[in-house]
Amino acid sequence: MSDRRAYLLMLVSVAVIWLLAVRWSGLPPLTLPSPAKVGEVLWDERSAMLEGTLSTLFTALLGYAVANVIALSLAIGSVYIRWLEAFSTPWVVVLKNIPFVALASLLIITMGSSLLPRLIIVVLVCFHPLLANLNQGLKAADRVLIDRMRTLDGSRWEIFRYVLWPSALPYYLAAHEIAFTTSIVGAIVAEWFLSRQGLGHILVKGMTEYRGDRIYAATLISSVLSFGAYWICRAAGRHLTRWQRA
Amino acid sequence: MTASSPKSTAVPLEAAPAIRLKGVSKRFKAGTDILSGIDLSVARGELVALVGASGCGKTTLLGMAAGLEEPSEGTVEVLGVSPAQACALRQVGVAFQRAALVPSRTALENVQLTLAITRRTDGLDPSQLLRDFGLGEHLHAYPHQLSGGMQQRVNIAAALVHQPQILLLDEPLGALDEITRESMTEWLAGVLARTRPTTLLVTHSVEEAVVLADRVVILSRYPGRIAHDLPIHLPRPRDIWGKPNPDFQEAVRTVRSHLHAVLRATGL
Repeated sequence: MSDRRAYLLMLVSVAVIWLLAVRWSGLPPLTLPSPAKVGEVLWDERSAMLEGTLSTLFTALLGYAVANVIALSLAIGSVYIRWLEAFSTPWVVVLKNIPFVALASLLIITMGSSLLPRLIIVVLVCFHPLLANLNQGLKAADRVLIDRMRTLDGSRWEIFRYVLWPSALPYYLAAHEIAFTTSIVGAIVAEWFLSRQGLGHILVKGMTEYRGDRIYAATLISSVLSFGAYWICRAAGRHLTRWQRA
Repeated sequence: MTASSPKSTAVPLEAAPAIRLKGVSKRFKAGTDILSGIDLSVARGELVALVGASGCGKTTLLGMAAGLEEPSEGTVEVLGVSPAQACALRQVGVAFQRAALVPSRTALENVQLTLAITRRTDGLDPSQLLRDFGLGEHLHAYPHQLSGGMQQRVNIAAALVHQPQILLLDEPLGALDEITRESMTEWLAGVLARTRPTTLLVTHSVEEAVVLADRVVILSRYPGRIAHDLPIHLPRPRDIWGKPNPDFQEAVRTVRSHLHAVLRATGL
């Protein structure tokens, strides 16, 4: 079965299950609205939904960019500065393992509901897969090829450009498929805790006001964003490593 | 030497042997001597094959000539300067047993890469070189699309394209099946006869050594020392796969008997 057909089948299945659940589960429309009702909310509240989506996207993209800068700096820095990896590993491991719900609570009481604590959460949830894969990809570089470059008097930059980076790239691209999606989830969770805007906030509000239709609408949007993020990364990744399938 | 820029291709001390190792020893950190008291000179344009059992330090010796490893004692000179300086003069080409190609670049791009890095403008034409190497149909193939023998030809082309005076080959045909290896040996002999770089060749194959080399140097092991230095006086081209050639058989027999004597003496 082709990729496209499998996705189509999945979408149709979800729609069918949803419709059947609405028809047969006996749950009230407040908690399980029909697809039509959710569509109605999406249309009626489109400006609030759009605003929420843009706010979430902004947090996610900015956090993601920062996470990439940190991961690239640490991974590439560790190739040239021997102590950097040893020094940074305990920090990375500890930060990665702090439950971010705990961290979110801490950030609320110290920083309030500004952008910064949300960014911190996004960075923390998505930078680790980037760093781990970059490290692995750089270490997988062909030592024999590096030796050959050295005998040609290749500079550090040339060895990086022609050997290390091409080796790390497929790993880095694979990390994006995980981390970009995670950044959107991270942004929504951060908003859930820390914000008066964004899809996370729409979800919290929907919950307190018992508006299942809004929750479903925001869930639908965030799923589309997440899937879109995954799809963009995958397409870009496949384009950049198309030689592998030549 | 200090006056010449790193990009310069001028080579000093024309009269010196192309490669000279004097009293070279190599000791690993654990205290094991891998090579001891190596004195070896390779004249310009000469091809010396290094043979010996695994662990005799052949690859280490080649690595020192390439500037990739430092001797623990003694000196290594390449073109009258240190190996690193010879590399900086862009006069060294290496090919290892495993073809070291950039996987995301085509055969042609891999060969061009050598010219890009060495900034040599007087090198050979990469596409013509690959055509001469029988890869005209595969210029734009990626390494994973090529057979082992083809990859190795690209690897050797990438080592030769900048016309280095020194060529260091570490079992370049070692990973190939026997039939491919035999035809590649003949092919390599032809390539080297045309380009005539000073060549140090590490090999496990006595036949390969005898077909290609002007001298076969046999190393003993634990530690690696030069046990025999045997000149090969056979006319070129040495077409040996076609018809029986008694002189060739005799040369192979001589090298092999010396090699076996060395192996027996070092406990194998």
